[in-house]
Amino acid sequence: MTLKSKEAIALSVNLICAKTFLMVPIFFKRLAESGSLILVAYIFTLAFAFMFVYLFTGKIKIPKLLIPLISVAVILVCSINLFEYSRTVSALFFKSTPLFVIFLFFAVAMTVGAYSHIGKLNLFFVPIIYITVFIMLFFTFSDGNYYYLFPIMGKGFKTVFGDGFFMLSSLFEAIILFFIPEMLEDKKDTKKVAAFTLIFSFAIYLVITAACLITVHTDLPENCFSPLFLILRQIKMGTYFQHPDTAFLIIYFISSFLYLSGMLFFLCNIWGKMSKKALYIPLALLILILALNGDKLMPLTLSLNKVLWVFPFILPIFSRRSLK
Amino acid sequence: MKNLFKKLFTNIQRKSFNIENAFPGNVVYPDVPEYIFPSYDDNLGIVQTVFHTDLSSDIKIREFNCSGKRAFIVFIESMIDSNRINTHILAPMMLISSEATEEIVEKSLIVVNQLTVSSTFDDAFYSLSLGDCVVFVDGIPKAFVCDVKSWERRGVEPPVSEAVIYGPHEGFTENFKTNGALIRKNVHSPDLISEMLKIGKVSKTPVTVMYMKNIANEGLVNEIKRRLKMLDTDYIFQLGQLEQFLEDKTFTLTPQFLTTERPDRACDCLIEGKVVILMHGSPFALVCPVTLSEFFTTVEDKYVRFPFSNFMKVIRLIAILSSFLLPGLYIALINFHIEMIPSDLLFAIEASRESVPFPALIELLLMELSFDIIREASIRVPSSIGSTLGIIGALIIGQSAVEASLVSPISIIIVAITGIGSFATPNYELNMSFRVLRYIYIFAGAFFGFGGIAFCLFVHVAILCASKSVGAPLFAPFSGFSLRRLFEFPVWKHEKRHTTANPKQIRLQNKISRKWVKK
Repeated sequence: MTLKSKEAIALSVNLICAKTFLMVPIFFKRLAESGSLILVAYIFTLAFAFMFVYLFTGKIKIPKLLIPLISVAVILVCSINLFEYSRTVSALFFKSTPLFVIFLFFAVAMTVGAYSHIGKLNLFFVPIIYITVFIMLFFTFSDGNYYYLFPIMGKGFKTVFGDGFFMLSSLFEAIILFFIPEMLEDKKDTKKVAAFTLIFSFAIYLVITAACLITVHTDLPENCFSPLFLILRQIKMGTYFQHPDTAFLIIYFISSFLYLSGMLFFLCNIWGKMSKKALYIPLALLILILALNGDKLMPLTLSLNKVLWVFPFILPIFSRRSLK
Repeated sequence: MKNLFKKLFTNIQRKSFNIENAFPGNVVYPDVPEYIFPSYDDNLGIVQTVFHTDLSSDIKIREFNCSGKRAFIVFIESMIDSNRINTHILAPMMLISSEATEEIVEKSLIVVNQLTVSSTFDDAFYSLSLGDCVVFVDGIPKAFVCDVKSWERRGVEPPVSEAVIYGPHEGFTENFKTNGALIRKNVHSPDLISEMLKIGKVSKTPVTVMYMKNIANEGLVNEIKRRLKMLDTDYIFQLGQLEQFLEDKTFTLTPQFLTTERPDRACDCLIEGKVVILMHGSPFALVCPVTLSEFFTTVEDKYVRFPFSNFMKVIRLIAILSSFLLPGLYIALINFHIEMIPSDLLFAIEASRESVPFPALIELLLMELSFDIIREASIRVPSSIGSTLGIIGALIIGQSAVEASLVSPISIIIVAITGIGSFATPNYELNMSFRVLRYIYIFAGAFFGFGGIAFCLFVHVAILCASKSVGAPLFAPFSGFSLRRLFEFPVWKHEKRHTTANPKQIRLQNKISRKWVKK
């Protein structure tokens, strides 16, 4: 499978940015305090990863041994995300709609998105999503307290770095970046992918982090699914659109669709060209079934998270060996 | 793009079969021998049998003597120029005395500019059905097909569905030769190829495939011709039918071919490396491949200065989006997200809806259906009572429905904006697809709010991304993202062709097209 450079850029940008956007709720619920450092760690990890990728002389091949392992991990991550997104949407907006219906919504969209041209989908939706988010967040700055931007002082080494690296494992999707060059026709495009992804993810992450920190601060309610949702509720736009937070729903939905589609696309793609299309529906069904039992999967995912952050560092070494 | 075409054509070639064997023998007249007889009586008998001359009053056979040999001509009365038959065919053949051999008849006796000597009944009868006159002479196993067509035809008139203020006012007609001439008179290039094919085993409707030999991608041209040649149907009369035969995906709502009735737009497409298909009897041209953004543009966008065309494009885009999204968004706001609406407006909406007994969904559906009924009726209503229909629509549906508390004024405003937005859609087929999609968005908004609309929008865009127009991605501006596709730039900046059709020559004009400007 080869994609044009711009499509691959879109895919990588989506996977990082959409996930960043979608992860804001959990991220800040648990670790609003060390957000700024996580930002730094995240960017450096990406830069580190891309340094590896850029050093390669040829295309990266996924080692065959790792494919089943990666697949299982992606299926689990995808199922948990599907479960979390559905639950968030259900809690925020569709309180009376059965959870199963929302699960189906996501599963169908995921399959359709993966089956269609994911690169083009990203190119269409990602700018819309992030321009909207930027506009929304821009208005939140007027209500923020800039003093809250520095909440990490005196938190201790373990809180900042220990938790920070633990949270990096949630950015498992960064692993996917290692395989983007495989989809490129020309290795020169790797640099473009790296640059675009870094710039986009840095900008998005910086704005969201800053907006969250200066407005929501750390006193998040226990039942808060999405601090971003709370931020948007504070926007005052004169007498118009008194609660623009509902518009967040469209963006949230489409981001999740894109992210899940991207994951499914990647999952099917690593199994080769022949079986790719045949895998979409069975894998989507498998993810759906696992997501329906999301509560039972949570402990497994938490333990998996402790290991997954190592992948971005280990995988390039394996990949490099496979090239020899 | 190159890979895309390569992949597409390799797949197609795998499935293809021998085109030469696709239509064996004489399909149209299975009981008629393939070749023309030398015998006068045999040929006459076959013509009389095939064309049912005892029943058909407009098929005329004129028997006469030509230099001592028996001969007859056959023609369709209403399709020929009788003066030309009298003076250029009958007069010389009956009056000039010489030996009536094939060569003399062809070169000395029949005085018409287009004469074809045919040896098969199939060819002769096909020409006859197009308005030619066919001459049979005893002892000659050939038919002389003379072009004496004189149909009643409509003149070149301004296009109806693509009217412009700032541009030529001539549109295609039902005569494909006139249409071909309208294109050729604009594109003064010997590289403009106009290939004629016959579609339909029985109807044999003439179809012209036009392309620029030095620009158009050969793979694309061959693919179009291959699809046309392999059509296995008896009758096909209109480009609308042909479009349905040729398209890649049948069940996609979005059109995959561009239909235009403007020769200047067809010319524009030709120089972009696209293929234009003309068909006898259709006052339109089919253009392929196309991208979705081309359905949003009008030919006038290229004629006016670029700031104005971009402004018009933005306005048009807003109108198009509102034509299928606005009712769904309205109903989602009313049913699910009322906190978004400013308080004063919310009170006003609720007050206006207080006396309406129906839920918002039914109310909106009633209005949308009424609007669609009026629109459908207005196409068929005679122009003399067209204004009456407007009064009925405005007064009865609008004012009376509000007074009778059937609908609220706000839904009339929504439906009106939607309707006006749909009229701003430049392409009729795209407009039709949005009319259908609007109902889907209404139901999604009514049952699932913004979530439903987001879902439908995502699936809609995903389907568009997967759609192709003769192998080229329909959603192309978002795959090979280029601002030039979305917005107009100054005319001197149009240095490259769009890559949608994968043209042989990418450069459209020199980088410095205005030579007096210094670098």
